[in-house]
Amino acid sequence: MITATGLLGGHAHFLHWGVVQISLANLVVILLMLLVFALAVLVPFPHTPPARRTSAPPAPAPTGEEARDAQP
Amino acid sequence: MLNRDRQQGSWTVGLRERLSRTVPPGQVLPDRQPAYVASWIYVFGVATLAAFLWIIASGTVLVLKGATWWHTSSIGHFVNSTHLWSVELFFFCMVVHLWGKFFMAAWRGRRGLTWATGAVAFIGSIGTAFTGYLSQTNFDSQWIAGQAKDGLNSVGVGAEFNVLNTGQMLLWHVMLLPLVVGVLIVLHVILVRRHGVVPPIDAELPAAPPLDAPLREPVAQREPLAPAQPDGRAGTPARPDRVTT
Repeated sequence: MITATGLLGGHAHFLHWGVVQISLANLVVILLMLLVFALAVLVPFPHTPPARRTSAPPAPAPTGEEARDAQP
Repeated sequence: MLNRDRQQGSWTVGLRERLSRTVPPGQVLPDRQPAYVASWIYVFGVATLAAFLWIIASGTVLVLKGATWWHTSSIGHFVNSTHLWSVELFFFCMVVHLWGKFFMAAWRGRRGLTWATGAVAFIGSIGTAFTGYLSQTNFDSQWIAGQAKDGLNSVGVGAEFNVLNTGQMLLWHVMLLPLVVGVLIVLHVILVRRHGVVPPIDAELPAAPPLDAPLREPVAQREPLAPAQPDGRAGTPARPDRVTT
């Protein structure tokens, strides 16, 4: 039976590439972060149906401070 | 003296009015945001906050029970593991959020301090995590301390920041560094609410017409030209909505 202790409790596997060496676990985490980042950019964000929104006014963008700063 | 004059001279009134101006009205906990905020990148920012809260909660239990509790108690081992894995999630989500904000150039529009507080919080979090490795009270922490002291001595800070001193490292980990990171995170969130979320790049900067584009009207009727831009593009139309830093 594969357990977390069995996967993580043994000797670390290292990959060597010239002067660069990295543990397999760290490499997997970095690749996962890159994959999740790509998905976060590419996957469309689900939008809330307009009927569920409240009647509060939308947030100003840019804020009033920025509008003042942007005056010529 | 009128009552109004007395109020204007009061430091409590001044502080109250300063605090009320920190974030625009209705923007502390808004229920609607501009369309470009609908992005997974901000989900990872909020996930970072959620992981941070769990780090503090599990860490508080570990403080109450002691640094060696997790060696002898199965519940302690579980709490210690949730502390570790919430840190892993914290960094994972924070890095995804950081990459997203970097490629958005999120420091535009006078948001430099928002970016800086997030970046410094990230660096401070790394230091906090390292002192956590030193607080495991096992052979792993002993090995890490032995390696770290050589690096820190080589830059001359080993006398003040002694990684072989378990008590000093534990206090830095449970008190000083979490306080610094927590204050930075609160400031970061306040600044996000104060300045709003950065608009997309193409929505903020209208493209300048190419230099060889034919003029559609006489020069005298065109918009007044702005001074030369830092990137060398001279003569782009003066636009009051340009809020680049």
